[in-house]
Amino acid sequence: MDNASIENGFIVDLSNAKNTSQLIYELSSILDLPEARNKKICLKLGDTDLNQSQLLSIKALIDSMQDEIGMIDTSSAQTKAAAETLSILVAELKNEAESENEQVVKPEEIDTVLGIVTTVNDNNEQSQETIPLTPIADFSEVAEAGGLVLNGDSKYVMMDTTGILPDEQKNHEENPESLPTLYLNRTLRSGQTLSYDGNIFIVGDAHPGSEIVAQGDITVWGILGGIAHAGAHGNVNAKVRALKLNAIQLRIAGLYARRNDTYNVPFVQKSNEFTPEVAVLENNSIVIYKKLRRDE
Amino acid sequence: MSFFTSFYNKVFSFFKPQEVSEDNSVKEVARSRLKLVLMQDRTNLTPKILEQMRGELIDLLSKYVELDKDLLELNFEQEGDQVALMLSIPVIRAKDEKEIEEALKKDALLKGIKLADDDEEEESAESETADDESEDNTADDNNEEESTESVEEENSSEEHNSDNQENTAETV
Amino acid sequence: MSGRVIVITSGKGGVGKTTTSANIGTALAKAGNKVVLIDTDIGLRNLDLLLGLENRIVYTIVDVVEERCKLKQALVKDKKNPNLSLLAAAQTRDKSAVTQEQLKEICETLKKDNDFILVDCPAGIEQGFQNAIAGASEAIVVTTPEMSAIRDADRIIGLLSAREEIESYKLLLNRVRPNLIATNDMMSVEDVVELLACDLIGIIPEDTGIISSTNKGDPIVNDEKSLAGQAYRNVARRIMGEEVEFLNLEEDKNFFGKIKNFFEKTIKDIKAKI
Repeated sequence: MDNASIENGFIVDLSNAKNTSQLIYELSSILDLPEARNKKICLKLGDTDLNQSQLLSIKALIDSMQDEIGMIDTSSAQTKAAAETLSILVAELKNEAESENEQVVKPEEIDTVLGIVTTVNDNNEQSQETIPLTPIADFSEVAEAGGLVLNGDSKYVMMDTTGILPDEQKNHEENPESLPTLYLNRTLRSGQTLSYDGNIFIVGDAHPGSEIVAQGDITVWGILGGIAHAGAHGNVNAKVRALKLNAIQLRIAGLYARRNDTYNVPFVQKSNEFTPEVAVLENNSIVIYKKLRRDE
Repeated sequence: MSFFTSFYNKVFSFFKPQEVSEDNSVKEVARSRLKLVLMQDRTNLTPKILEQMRGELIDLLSKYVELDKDLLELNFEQEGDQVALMLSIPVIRAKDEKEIEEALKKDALLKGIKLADDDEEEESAESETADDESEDNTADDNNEEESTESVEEENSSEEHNSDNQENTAETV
Repeated sequence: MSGRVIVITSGKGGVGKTTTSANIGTALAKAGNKVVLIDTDIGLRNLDLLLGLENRIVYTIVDVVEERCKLKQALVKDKKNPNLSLLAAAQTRDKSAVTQEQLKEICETLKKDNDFILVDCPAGIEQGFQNAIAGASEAIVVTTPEMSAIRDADRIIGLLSAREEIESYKLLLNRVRPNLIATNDMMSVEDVVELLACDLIGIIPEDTGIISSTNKGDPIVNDEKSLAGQAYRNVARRIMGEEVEFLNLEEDKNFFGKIKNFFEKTIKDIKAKI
C-alpha cells in the first residue's frame, strides 16, 4: 500500500458506517456542505466490503457534487479489488497528513438539522502559553463585580419534574471555559435543534419552538424564545445568557424552569429593547440576573 | 322622489339581503357546483361522461314514458362506503302500448342506420367470406323475431338491410 | 374503564381542528371526564399553544415511542383542570417519527384509565392522517361552509367510512356565519349536511373571541358568555350521549331584519309624504 499526499482535499471518515446506505447517507450529508465543493475526497472506508457497482455509485455521487475521488483507504480486500478495477488510488491515510493541512470531518459531528460541521484537531499541540481557567466562584459575587442584579419579577417558575425526568444523572462541576465552543451566526427557527458537546454561542435569535442543548453554556446574542438546556449532562456550573431571555423553558443540568404563565409575552417577540440576562443555578433553583442599565 | 329612491338604494342596500332569484344566489351556485364536484369525486366520472349518461338515460326512458327532460335529476348518494345512483324523473304521462312500439321501432331504425354506416367503413378492411356467413345467420334470426316492416322501409342496399337487422337484434 | 378514542380530522387545513380538539377536550374534562388530548401534528404542533401549555412540555409523543420516557411522564396536566392532559407532538421531527401501530398502542394504553382520548389530526390524507386514525373508533369531521373544506371533508368521510375500525363519524360545522347565510351568500347548515350526507354533531358560529382565546391559551369553552363556547359545550354533551338541541343562530338575522324593517318603513313613510 502506497503512501500518498493530496492537495486541496479532505478526508471523509466513513469507517463507522454499518452498511452501504448509511455510508452513502453520511457521505452525501458531508458533500452537501458548501465547503466541500471542488475538492479531492479521501474516503476512509474501514473494513466495509464494497463491490464494483457500489463503489461506482459512490464515485458518481462524488462526481455529481463537483468533487473528485482522491483515494480510498480500506482494509477490505473486495473493496480494494473493486477500486483497482475502477482505477481509484488505494492508499493508507496517516495521521501525520491530517495534522498538516487537511481537516478530518467526522460524520458523527454533523448536526443533521443544521448541517454544522465541527472539527476536532487532536494533534494540535498547545504551543502558546496556557491561560488559566477562571476559578468557579459563587455567582452572586461574580454578579456583583459585573454589575448584575437578581431579577426579582419571577419570570420563571421551577417545574416539578419528580417522576418525569429519567434516572437522576450525576451532577458535576466542570468549568465551561474548558469546553470547546460552537459559534453560529444565524437564526434558529421553530423545529430546529442545535446540540453540541460544549458551549454554544449564537449571534441571532432563537425562535419559539427551537431547542438548544449544550454540555456547557448557552449564549444567545439576540432574543432567546425557545428551549435552552445548558449543562445537559449535569454540569451545574452551566449558564444561559441572552440579550432578551424569553425562553419558554430554561433547563440547567437536571433542573427545569418554565416561563411563568402570567409573564405575558407575544409568541414571537421582536424588540429593540434589550435587557441582557443570565440564568444560573443557585440553591437548586434557576435564578435570573439582569445587567443594570447605567441610569438604573 | 328619485333622489330618495337612489339614496335608499345606495345607503340601505347594505341592510338589504341580496334579492336575487334563488337559483342565482351565491349559495345556490356554490351548492350546485359542489354537488357536481362531489359526484365526480365519489365516482371518478367526468362531467362529459355524466352528461352522456344523462342523455342516454333520457333517450332510453322517453321510449316508454313522456318525461320532463329538463327536470331529470341524476345524483350519486353516498351511504357508508356504497355509492347509490339516484334518478329522479318527473313523468308527464305514461305512453300507451302503440306509442311505445312505435318508439321502439323508430329507435331501432335510427340505431341501425347509424351503426350500419360505421360498419361500412370497417367492412372494407375485413375478409368478406367470414362476414357474409355471420350476417346471413343473424339476419334470419331477426326476421323471425321482428316484423319485417323496418327492413322494407329502408331504401338502402340489401347488405345494409341485413346489417341493420343484426344491430337491431343487439340493441333490443 | 375503557375510554373512547375519537379522532378530530378535516382534510383541509385551517378549518379549526385544533381549536375544536382543545375546546371539546376541555368541555369534556369540565363535565368530569378524564380526557387525554393527543397532538399528532408532529413538526407543526399547536395544540399546546391553544391550551396554554407550551411552557410545560418536557416530553413528546416521539419521546414516548422512542422510549426515552414513559407514557405517563409525557402527559402534561392542564393548568385549570386536572382531568385534562395533553400528549404533545414533537416540534423538531416529522410525521414519520411515529407509526400507526405505535399510535394505536398509545391509544390502547390510554383507554385503560381515561374516559376520552381525543386525537388531533394533521391536515392532509397522508401518513399523519393515517397515523391519527389508527387507534380511533370514532371520528369528528370538522368542516366549514366553504367549497374547498366541504370537498375535502367528503374525501375524508369516504376514507373513514372505508375503515372498519371507525364505528361512527359525525360532522362538525365550524365558522358558520348566520348573517351570510341569511343573505344567501353562504351555504346553510342544511345544504352542507345534505351534500355530505353525514350526521351533525355540532354547529359552531364564527366567533372573534376564538382569536383572543388562542392568544391567551385559554379555550373558549371556559368563557361562559361566548356563543361558540356554548356550542362547543353542547358538542361535548352530545358526545356524552345527551340530546341537545342545536343553537339557534338566527338571532343575528332577526337583529338585522329588525333594522332593515325599520329603515324600509321609514323610507315608505317618506315616499308616501312625497
